[in-house]
Amino acid sequence: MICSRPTACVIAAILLAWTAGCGSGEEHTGYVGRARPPDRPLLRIAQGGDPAGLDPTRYSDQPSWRVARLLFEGLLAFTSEGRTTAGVADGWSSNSEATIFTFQLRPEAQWSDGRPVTAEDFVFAWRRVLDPKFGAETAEGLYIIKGARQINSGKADPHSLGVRALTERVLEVELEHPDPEFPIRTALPSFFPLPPEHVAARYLDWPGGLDPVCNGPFVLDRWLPDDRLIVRRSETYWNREAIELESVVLFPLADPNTTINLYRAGEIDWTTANTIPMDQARELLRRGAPEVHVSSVYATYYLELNTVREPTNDPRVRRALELTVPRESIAEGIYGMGHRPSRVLVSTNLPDWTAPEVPAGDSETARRLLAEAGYPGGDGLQPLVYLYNAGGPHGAVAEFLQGAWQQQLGVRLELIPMDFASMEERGRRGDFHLLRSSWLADLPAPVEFLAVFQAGNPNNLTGWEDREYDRLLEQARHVLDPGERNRLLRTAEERLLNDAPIIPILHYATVQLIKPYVEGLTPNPLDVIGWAGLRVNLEWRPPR
Amino acid sequence: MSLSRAGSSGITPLNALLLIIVIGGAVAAVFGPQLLPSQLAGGIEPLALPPGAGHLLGTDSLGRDMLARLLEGMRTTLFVGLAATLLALVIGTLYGAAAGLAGPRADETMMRGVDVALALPFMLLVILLVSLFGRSMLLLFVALGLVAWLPLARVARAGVHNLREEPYLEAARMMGGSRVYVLRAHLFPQLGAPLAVYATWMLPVVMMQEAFLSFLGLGVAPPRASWGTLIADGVARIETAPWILLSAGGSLALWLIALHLAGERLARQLNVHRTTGALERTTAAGEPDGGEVTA
Amino acid sequence: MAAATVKLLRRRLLAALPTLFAVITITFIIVRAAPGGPFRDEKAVPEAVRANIEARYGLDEPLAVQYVKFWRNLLTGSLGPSFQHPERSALGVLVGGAVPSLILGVAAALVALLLGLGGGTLAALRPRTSPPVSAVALIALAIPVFVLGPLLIRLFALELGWLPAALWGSPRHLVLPALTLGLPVGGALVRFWRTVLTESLDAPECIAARARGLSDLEVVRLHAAPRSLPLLLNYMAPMVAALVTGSVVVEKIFAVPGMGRYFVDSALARDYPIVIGATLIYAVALLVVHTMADLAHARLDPRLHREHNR
Repeated sequence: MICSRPTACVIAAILLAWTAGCGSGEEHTGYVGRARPPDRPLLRIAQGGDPAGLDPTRYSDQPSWRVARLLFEGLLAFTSEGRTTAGVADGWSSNSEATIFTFQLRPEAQWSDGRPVTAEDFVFAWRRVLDPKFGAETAEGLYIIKGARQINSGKADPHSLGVRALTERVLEVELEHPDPEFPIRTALPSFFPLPPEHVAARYLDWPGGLDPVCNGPFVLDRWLPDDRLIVRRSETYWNREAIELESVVLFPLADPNTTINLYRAGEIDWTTANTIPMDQARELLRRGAPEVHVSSVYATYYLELNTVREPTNDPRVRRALELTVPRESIAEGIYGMGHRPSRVLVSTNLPDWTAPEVPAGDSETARRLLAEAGYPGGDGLQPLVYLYNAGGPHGAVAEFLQGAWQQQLGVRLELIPMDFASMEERGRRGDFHLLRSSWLADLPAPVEFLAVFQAGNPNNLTGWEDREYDRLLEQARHVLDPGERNRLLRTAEERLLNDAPIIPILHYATVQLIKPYVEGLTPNPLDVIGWAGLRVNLEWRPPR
Repeated sequence: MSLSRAGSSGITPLNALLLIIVIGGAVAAVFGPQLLPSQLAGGIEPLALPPGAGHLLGTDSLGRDMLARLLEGMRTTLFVGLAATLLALVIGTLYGAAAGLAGPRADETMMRGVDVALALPFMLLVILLVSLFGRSMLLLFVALGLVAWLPLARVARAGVHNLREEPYLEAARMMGGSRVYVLRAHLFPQLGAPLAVYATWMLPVVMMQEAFLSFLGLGVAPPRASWGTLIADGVARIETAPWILLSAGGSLALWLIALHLAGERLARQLNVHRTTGALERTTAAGEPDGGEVTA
Repeated sequence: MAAATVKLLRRRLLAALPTLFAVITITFIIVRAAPGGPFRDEKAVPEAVRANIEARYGLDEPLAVQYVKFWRNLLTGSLGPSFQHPERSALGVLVGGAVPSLILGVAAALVALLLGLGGGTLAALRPRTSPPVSAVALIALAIPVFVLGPLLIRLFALELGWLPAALWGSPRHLVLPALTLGLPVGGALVRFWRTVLTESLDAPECIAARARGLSDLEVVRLHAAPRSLPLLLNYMAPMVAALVTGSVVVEKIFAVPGMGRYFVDSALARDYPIVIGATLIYAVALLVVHTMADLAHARLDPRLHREHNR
C-alpha cells in the first residue's frame, strides 16, 4: 500500500500547473490581461458591493451613490475630473452673507416620463429626507438648511424648512449659517430631486421598483441583486447628446481577487477605487502598467486615543506614541500606492489649504515624554488595548505599530480585531485605549474633517473636548473670506494636534484599473465621475 | 476487506512516514517556536521575500520568516484542534451517555436539543461568540468544540442503546451497580474504541474549520498565527508571493492527509467501521467531512 | 407502502414544528445578544437620525414586543424588510439568493456523487487501483476550498481560457464553482463508498452472485449497491443540505449571487431579518433532506421498521 508515489505525482502535477501560470505574458505586452474593447459602447464596472437600494436620497454607501449619479442629477453635477458643473440648475446666486441661495433650473431638464423637473421636486425630496418618519441615514447632510435639524428631530413641521419654490423654475434656499460653498453640496445624492407624483403614494418606500422615473443621464434597465445592475442611456436627459455610452453594467464584486481576475479576463473595463488586491496593485504600479491609475483622495487614516482613561488621558503619553509611529513603513510598506504618511488630520491635498506645523520630536523626545509621565521605558504600563475592525490591511498596521512601540518605547499593545458593529459599540462605551479610525470627506473643505472633533459629534470617541476649538470652528463658519476662514481652521487643527487625542497616520489614495480603450475617465480625489464625454473606443486595438 | 486488512500489520514504509509526520510535526509545533522565534522586520519595507538564503521558506507579508511563522501557526492550529476535539469528546460522551441511560422521554427531549443545535448555522454561532468575547485561542476551540460534540453525542447514545440490552449489563445492574458504576465500569470502556476512532476523524475536520474561520477573518488575533491565518494571507497574495500559500497550504494538506490515514489505520486496528453499530447513525447526523462547506 | 409514507411524513412534520420554533427563537436571542446594531456605517449619525431609523424599524420597542411582532409577521409570511437593502423584503432577498445556491449545490452534489461513487466503486472492485484513487481522494479532501478555487481559476480561466473566471448566468459559469465545491466532498465520498462497498461485497449474497457468474459491475449494481444505498443516503443528507444552502467562500470567490454569503454578511451587518431567515432556510433544508433520505430508506428496504427518533 505505497500511497506516497501517486500522491507525490499529483502534488507535482498541481504545482507544475500552477507555476506554469506564474510566468504570464503580461510583462511583455504591458497590458493587464486581455485588452479588447466590447462590441458596443458599453462600460462594465466592478464595484465593491451591491447598492443598498435605488432611492438616491436615502443611502450613503459608495455603490448606492454611484447608481444614484447614473440615474439622477442634482442642481449641480460633477465633471469627470471631479469638479462641479451645472446640473439641473443652469445658474445660481446668493445674498452677500451667503445665507440665501437662488437656483435657476434649466427648462430642458426633464424626468424620464417627459415632465420637466421643477423647483417643487426639490422641495418635496428634501422635506422627505428630513421627515423623521422616513428615517433616512443621510438626513444630517441637509442640516445646513434652515430649520432642518428641528424638523428631523420631530420638533418642527416639514413645511417650515427653509426651501421655497419661488416659481416652477426658481428655487430659494435659506441656510442655518453662511456657506459660500453651499452649491457644491447640492451635487451630493442626498440633495437630488424626486418626482412627487410617483413617490408620494408610497412615501416611505421607494416605489420605483424596476422602472423608477428618474432625471439622470441613464435609466434603469434591470437589477439582478448580487449579480449585476444594468442601466441604459436616457432618451430624455437634457444633455443626452454628450452621453456616448449606450449602457453601463455594475458588478458587485466583494472579492478583490475575483475583481482582478475578471479584469484580466476582459470582462471588466474599470475597477473602482481599491477593489483589487493591494499587493497586485503595487506590483503593477512598480511595473509601470499604464492601466493603473492612482489618485489621492480626501481621506485620512488615524487612531483615536481614549483621553478619559489611564494612561492615554496623559497628553505626554499620547504625544510619545504619536512621535514614534513608523508612518513611512506603513504608508510605503503596507499600502504603498500613493498613500502619503502624515501627522495631520485634514488631508493636505485640499485646494488652497496649508497644513499646520506639528511639534517636532524624535524617539528620544518620545522616551523623555513617557518618562515624564511616569512610565520610563514603558515600566508600569499595562498593555494598551487597541481595537480595530478586522479585514484589509488594518491587522498588518496594528501588528506593525505593536512592534514599533514595543521596540521604541517599551509600550505593549493588546490587539483586538473585531467586526465593525462590535468595535463601534465598544468604542462608544470607552472600553479601549486606541481605536482605528478613518475619515473620508464628501466635499473638498477642511471643516469636513475638523467638525468630527467638535463637541457632540458622534464620530468622536476619544472623549476629547475643547471649547476654544469649538469656538474657532463656529467662528470660521461665519467668515466668508476663504483666506481668513482657513487661518481660523488651521489654528483649530493646531490645537487639536498639540493635544493629540488622535494620531494621524496617512492620507489615503485610490488605485483603479482602467482598460486602455476607455476614454475620458479620470480618477479624482472625490471619487466621483461625470458621465458626459466618457466613451469606449470600439476601434481601439493594441499597437503592434 | 481482505485487502484492507493486509496493510494494517507491521510497520510499512507508509506507516513509518505517517508516524514521522505526525510525531515530528507535533514536536516541531511544541518546540519550534522557541528555537526559531518569528520577528518583525526592522526595516522600512516589510516585504514578502521569496525563499532563499536566510529564509528557507521566504518571509510572510510583514517580512517575518515563513518557517518560524509556520511553526507558530502549527502550534496554534494543533492546540485548537486537540483542545476542541477533547472538549467535544467530553461533552458529547457525557451528554450522549446520559441521554442513552435516561428514560425514553428525557432521551427524546435531549436528542431534540441536539437536532435544534445542529440546525443552527455554525457560522452564526461563531460570529456571535467572537463579537461577544473577542478573538482568542480559547474562544476558537470552545466554539469549534461546541459544534463538534453534537454528532458525538449521537455516537455515545447509540452505543449506550446497543449495549444496554447486553446481558452482562443487565447482570451488573441486578447485582446492584448504580448507573454511574455501570457507566464507568462497562459503558465507557466499550465506547472507547469508536470514540477514539471518531476523534481521529474529527481532528482534521476541526483543523480545517479553524482554517476556514481564519480565512473569513474570524480566527486568532494577531500577532498570533495559525495555519488558517497564514493560508488566508497566502490566498490574498497568491500572485505576488505564492510561497506563502504553498508552504502554509502544503503543510496543512500534508498533515490532514497523514491524520486521515492514521485514523483509517487506527479504525482497522481497533476493528471499528464506519458502517458498524454505533457509528452508523452518526454519519447521518453530520459526518463532519462536509463541515468546511457548511455555512 | 403509501400509508407508511404518509405516516412517516406526518411524524416528521410534527417533529419539525417544535424544532423550527426553537431554532428561530434561539437565533432571535443570539443575534439580538450580539453587541452593536444595524445601520452602523463608518460615519456615525447624530442621535436624532439614529432615533428616527430605530423608530422606523421598530427597534426602539422592548425586545419582548419585537419578538411577538416578529412572530406575527412570520405567520403572515413576512420577515420584514432587509436592513442592508431596505427597499427589498428579507424573504425576497433570501429567495433570490436561494435559487443560484440550489443550482450550484445540486451541481456540486452531482460532481461529488459522480466522483465519489465512480472512484469508490473502482477502488473496491480493483484493489490494485485503490492506493492511487485514495491518494487523489485524500488530496481533494485536504485542500481547503478557498485554496482550490483560486487554483482552478488560475488554471482553467486565466491560463487556458476555457471557462469564465467568475460571474453567473450560463451553464459554463457553473463548472468551476461546482467543481470547487464538489471535489472535497467527492474525496470524502470516495473513501466512504470504497469502505462500504468493500464490506457489502463480502456479504454472502454478493459472493453467491459472483459465484453465479455475474460480472463485477453487475454484482455492484444488483446486490452490493442496493445494500449500501441506505448508508450512502444517511451520509450524504447533511452534506447536501449544506451544499444547497450555499457556501460562503465559493460563492464569494466566483461572484455567485447565492445566499451563502448572507450567513456571514448579515450577521456582521446585524441584519436581523436576514439572519433569522437564512437560519430558517438552512433548518428547513436540513429537515427536508433528512425526510427525503428516510423516505428513500423506507422504499429501498421495506423490511426496515426502524425507530425514527429524529
